[in-house]
Amino acid sequence: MRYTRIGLASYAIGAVLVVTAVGVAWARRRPAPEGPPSAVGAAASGPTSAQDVGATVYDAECSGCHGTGEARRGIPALRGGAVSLFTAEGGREYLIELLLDGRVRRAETGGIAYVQSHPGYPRLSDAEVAAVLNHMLVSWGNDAFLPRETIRYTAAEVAARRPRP
Amino acid sequence: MRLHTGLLLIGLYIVLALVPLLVGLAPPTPAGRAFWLELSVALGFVGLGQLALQFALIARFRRISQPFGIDLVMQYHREIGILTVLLVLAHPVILITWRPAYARMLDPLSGDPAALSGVLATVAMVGLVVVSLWRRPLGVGYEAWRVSHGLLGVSALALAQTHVLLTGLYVAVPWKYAALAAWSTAFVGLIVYLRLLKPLELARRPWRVVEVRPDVAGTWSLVIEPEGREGLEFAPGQFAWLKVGRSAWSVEEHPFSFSSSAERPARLEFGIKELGDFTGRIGAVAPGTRVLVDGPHGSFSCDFHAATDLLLIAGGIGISPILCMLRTLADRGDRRPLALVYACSRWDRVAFRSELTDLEHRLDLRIVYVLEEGHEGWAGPAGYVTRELLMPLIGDDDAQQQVFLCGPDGMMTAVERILLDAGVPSDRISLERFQLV
Repeated sequence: MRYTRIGLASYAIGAVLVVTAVGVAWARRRPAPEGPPSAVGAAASGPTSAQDVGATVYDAECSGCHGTGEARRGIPALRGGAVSLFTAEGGREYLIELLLDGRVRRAETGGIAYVQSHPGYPRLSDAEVAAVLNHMLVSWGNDAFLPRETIRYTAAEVAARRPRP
Repeated sequence: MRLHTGLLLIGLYIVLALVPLLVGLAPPTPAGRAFWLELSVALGFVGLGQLALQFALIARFRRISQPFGIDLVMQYHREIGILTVLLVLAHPVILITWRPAYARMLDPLSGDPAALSGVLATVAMVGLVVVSLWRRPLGVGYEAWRVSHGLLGVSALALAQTHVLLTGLYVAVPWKYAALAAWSTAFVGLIVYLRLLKPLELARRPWRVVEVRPDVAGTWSLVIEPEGREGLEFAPGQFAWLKVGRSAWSVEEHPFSFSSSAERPARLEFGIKELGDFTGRIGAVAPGTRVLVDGPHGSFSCDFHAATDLLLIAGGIGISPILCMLRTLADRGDRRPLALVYACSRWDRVAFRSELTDLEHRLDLRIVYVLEEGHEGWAGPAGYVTRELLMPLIGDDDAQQQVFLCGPDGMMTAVERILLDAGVPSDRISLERFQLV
């Protein structure tokens, strides 16, 4: 009897916590980008456009910090910024490595020391890394700044930079 | 009063369980993402909160366990533990169902330390629950289970914490990082205190076995006295965890109810029946053996209830805490009417009979012995404790009677049912299970 009540209390407290989690998720939800649902999953098994894959990976992995490409506190803008990086010397390769390995480095601006970091995404496939980089290069008006002769990232190019065990 | 304290503690518990989620949600936060992704992450944070609180539940804080009873806190620890693992499992399951590509994160060789720490934390938690639920079929001994339970628990929390910090999305700023790390360190600290520091503290206040006195077959009284100190204050009916002849850090400790009077704190007695590995050898414990006493614990005591009369119901060695109450009340010259129903298998198994006869003279006490197997010439009730037997002893509606029930699980469940059916309010029934773990 008393133990039944404890069982109920556990479920009640568990329910409160789950409901809170659902509420938080509901309040924070943002619609998924256009395109078929589960495009990343489909990328492995079925045909879908590389553009959709790029947008979906961006939404799931990048948009949390980078939003829609705008600058935020401590996070540089991808709008414009991504193209500057891409066109700088070695920038094209740097972006691939940044996504695969991540970066942590100390920097100093105006006498304030801070840590710049970007997570690595080794779990993304070569095609997904290429797709999300391409997505970034053509989104938020970035395509207007891209040199005319730009060649898109390819999965093979990413594969070549992936560290081998 | 106790109800309010209980509700307050439950409220505090829920808030504490949500701390990691709240830290994650405190600005600056990343922009919102798809619902399923957010839900998965939120459940992960809630699971982390629950996991850490498990350490607080078993830390033996009297103030926390008092309003509920420590047996219920332990039971809650078990049930919410299973629920916590389900919440934690929901985190990857939702992710992978929503985007099957995430399944790649489960590969331990993917080279992603954030994913790896998450996977390992989950494995540790699942292992912990599996070993706990099926300890006996798996052939894991109590001591081995206890050590593995602690190690797996601490590893799971440390790995889950690493997973959150390495993923870094919601805790990207130093203060969040620090807050979360401090929060879970505090909970691990509780277990370090309980298992490493508190034993040291107890070892500085050792007790010595004075006597192991045999009673009826298979029942003993372990008598201990403090070494050059005053005794231990406790409420009659409470219990203590004892380490008998073991190092301070030994995991072999056992909960026993005091059976001596609380008015004589410098000479403690514990009624012990030969039931398991340790209790089976209790008769062989030599006088002079060092005993470490962690106590008092428990909320099963006549001192915690205002009552005009008491109905005490004991089964087998469940008599220990009840004997403690009776001896204490006798020493205090208490004149309240008392009734004791004492169920045993056979007459020659009725422990502490001469003490009880003596107490009948010193107190306004009526004792009803119930024998499962009545012998020839036995005039008293035989079989189990029944409704017919209890009804005349149960006070009427406005009586301030408190019922204390301690015995084997089956008897407790049956008698509690009878009492509730007879209209005894549940807050007038106090229970103590002697099979705590």
